[in-house]
Amino acid sequence: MNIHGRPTGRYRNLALFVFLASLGVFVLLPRLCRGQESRTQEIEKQRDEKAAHPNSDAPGKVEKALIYLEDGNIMERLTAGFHGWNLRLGGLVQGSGFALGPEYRRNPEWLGGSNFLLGAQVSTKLYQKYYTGWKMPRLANDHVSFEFNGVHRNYSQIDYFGPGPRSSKDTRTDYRLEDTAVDAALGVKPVRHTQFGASAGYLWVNIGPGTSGKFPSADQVFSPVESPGIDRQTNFLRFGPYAQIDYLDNPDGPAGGGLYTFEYTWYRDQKLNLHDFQRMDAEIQQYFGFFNKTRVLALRAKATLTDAERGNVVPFYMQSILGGSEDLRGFLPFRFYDNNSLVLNAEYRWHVMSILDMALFADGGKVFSRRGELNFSHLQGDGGIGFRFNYQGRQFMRLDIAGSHEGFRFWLKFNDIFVRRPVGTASAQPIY
Amino acid sequence: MKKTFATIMLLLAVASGLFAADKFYADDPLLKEPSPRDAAKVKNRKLNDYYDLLENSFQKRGERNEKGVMIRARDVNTLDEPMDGAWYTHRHYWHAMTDEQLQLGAGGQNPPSQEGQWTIVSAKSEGVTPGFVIVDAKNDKYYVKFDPMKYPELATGAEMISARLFHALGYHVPDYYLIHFTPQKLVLGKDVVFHDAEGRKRDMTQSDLDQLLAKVPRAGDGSYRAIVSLQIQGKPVGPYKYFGVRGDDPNDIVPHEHRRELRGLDIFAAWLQHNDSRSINSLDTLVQENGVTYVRHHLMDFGSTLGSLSTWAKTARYGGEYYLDFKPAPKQIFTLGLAVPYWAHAQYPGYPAIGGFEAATFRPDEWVPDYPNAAFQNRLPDDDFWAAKQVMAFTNQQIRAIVKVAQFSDPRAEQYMAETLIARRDKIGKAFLGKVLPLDLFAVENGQLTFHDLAREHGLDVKGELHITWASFDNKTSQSTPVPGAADFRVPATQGGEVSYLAAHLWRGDDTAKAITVYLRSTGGPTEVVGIDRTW
Repeated sequence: MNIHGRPTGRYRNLALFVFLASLGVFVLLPRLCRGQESRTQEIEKQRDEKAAHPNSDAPGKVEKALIYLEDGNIMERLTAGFHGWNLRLGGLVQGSGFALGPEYRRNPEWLGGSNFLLGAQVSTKLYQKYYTGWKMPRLANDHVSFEFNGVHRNYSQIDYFGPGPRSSKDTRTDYRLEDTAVDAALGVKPVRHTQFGASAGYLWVNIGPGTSGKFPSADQVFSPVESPGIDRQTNFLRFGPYAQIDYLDNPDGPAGGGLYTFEYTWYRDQKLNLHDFQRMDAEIQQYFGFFNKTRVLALRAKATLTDAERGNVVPFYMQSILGGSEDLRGFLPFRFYDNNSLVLNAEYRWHVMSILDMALFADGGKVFSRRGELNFSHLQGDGGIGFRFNYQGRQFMRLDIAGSHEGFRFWLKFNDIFVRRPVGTASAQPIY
Repeated sequence: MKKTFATIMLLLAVASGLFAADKFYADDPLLKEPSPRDAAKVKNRKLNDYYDLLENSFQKRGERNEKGVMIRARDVNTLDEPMDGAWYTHRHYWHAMTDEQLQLGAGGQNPPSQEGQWTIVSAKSEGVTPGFVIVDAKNDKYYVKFDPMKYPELATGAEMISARLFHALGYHVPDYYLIHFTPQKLVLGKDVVFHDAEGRKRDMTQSDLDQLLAKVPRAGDGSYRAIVSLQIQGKPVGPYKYFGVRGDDPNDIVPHEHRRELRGLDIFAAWLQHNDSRSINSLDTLVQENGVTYVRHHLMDFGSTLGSLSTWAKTARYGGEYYLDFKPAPKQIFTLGLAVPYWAHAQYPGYPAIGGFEAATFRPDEWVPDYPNAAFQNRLPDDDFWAAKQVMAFTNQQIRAIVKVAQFSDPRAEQYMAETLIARRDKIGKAFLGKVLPLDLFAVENGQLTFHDLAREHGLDVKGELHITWASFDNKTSQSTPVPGAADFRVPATQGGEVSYLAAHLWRGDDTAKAITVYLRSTGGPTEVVGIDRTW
């Protein structure tokens, strides 16, 4: 280099050489090497390069695990069971805690298809339930149905706040409900959507001290005068007719149609001759779906009226009960007990995304001692918002947040708010 | 110094002339993929349905067309068309098929033999509708599927129609037939492995067969209607994905998200409401041709197209939102559902054979499949145009002819289906043809550059006249030199050596952004169209 920074002759030649060499390496060589004269050659060269470096498309660990589940039909086995045996989660009364237990199911095709069920469940609060059922829903070419149900329940800490609509939240107590029931129902379906029937059964009841430990036992707080039957329980023969009209568009997640149920049940005291009474249950569910059922107005009205024979009373454990995740959501479970009850629910539900619907809801209801008080005055009210989680169009979980003058309640439930009960005497009791 | 510099420049000029890549090779345009390399070592791979859903919903797989990055389809030839081969075959748009050919579909000549009985060799009980595999008297194997109990003719009708249309649109699809049979036609084979309702593998019994048939609709004469598909040729090696390449297939060199026929499939899927257009409904098979084994890629399972969800009728959400679509959720949450999505206004005719299929609320450019698809999301206006022009190639009469293959028992359902497909077709044309300058099928005839003006042919709004300028084109340098005075569709005389190129630049009205450059090559004989570049 000279003092002006210009290359001298020798260095100039060197620079030229370096430049040309670079040109050769970076510009011309690749083109020479490519040496393609056709599009076909260009494509074939890319294929050659790929063939020289094959990759395996082996799935990763997560996908491998999922493929294993799929190939082994593991999910089907878990949901459908093994040789009829299955694990049942949940399904006990509210407040029971997490429950699970074995269940045996068989669905033989004979007699038009029937379902046999046998199971046992225990919860974290040591609630127990043992049950069996045999249903033949499609006899006589789907015009006749017959079912038998047997259940033994031992619920160790059912809440009780005392009788009547004015019971105080602060007088919370609990009791043990232990009962055994066997019932059979025969139904006739003369026309589509409609069934009439009659059912009969026997119910053994025992009430004992509650075990929560956090609250006093009901028998220590309430007298037999306030809460008939708290000291001595009886057995019942029960029987009565029922009628149901069901034109819901989708029983698993109705967005249109209606379900109207009427039941009348005679309860006959078999031991004490103190508790003969009649019970009438009427329920209307109506669904109005709009915008392709992405918005649904769901309404329910439900009334239970009882009428004791002269000189008899309805025992407290057979009275109507309101409060909790299935009727008055702004109140504690089993908050109100009395001879009669009325509950009204309205929900506006809307689609948020395929796995989530939301709902705004309002509940109103009351318990009352005399049937003459069946009206809309003095209703306990609450309101709230709900999140409904769906899988393949079926709701599998709901989170309801409700508020009332007694505070806020959060409900994480795996059932529909308007729980569909079987008709007949098997379900014609307050705690089903 | 000056001398040295001049020398360098001269050398550069010579080098660039000698070694520059030609824009067009002698074998351009390639209409068919070059003969495949042997791919016999390709292994079967499984794809889990749920994994595919989660992977595509929550991860951005493949290389994407995003802001500032535009990757045009890479599997196209110089005419901007995919080549005939393992993925695709040019059919109806390029070589108009007759009504009969359209109705026959992928084969149409090999239904199950009516001689003898059909032997069931395997069956499935999963899901609401069952399915069998049968072997007929010719020893051909068929997959048999049925309609859901509450919707007779729904799934079978949808599959018959869509399979014909996807075939005419150029894809490899199975050969489907509609059959009617009585239970006496079926006989249970020996040692038929059966997954029962509890997921257990065991031998199938006649009672199992009776129970499966009890789940499907039966006609008044006691016969069953079903759709059968002939076993796809070749050894199955699993589905393809809509991103990346199959690592062990040497012929699979273009990432699938950059394949024109997979990007364009989005438009076809929108037309036919094929929301189930995901990997699980594709199948790669190893086939042999001329002694070479290679992978052929198929679309299959069209039971969830049109208004059918295979086991049920579609609800309005399908096509409107992804299965796991979190984008619209905040709006729905905070407006308490008062902001009703457009798709929720759909109204359906109530025909069981139609299900949830309509045209009034259909928005082609907003339609989505069940979950995100890398190839679909990579669509560019030229991909849209490529697909839309094919959709628009079906005349009303041809659509009506194809709908007939569904054999709907209610003529009103048949008419509704055809009218809905026609209305959706027109919406697709309107939405996508105009995204580029919609001129196509360029050729040189009698010294004139000819083409189809698809906007005018399909009655779309056009503003202004077409303009054209000509240039001679240097294939080595890609330099264009204007041909003075050439401003109409007559091809100007070329000058140069044995092989010469011209470039015609076309645009309409004032819209110079949407333009096409058509490249012509003359080799002494007739001038041919060798390439097309579209801009927008």
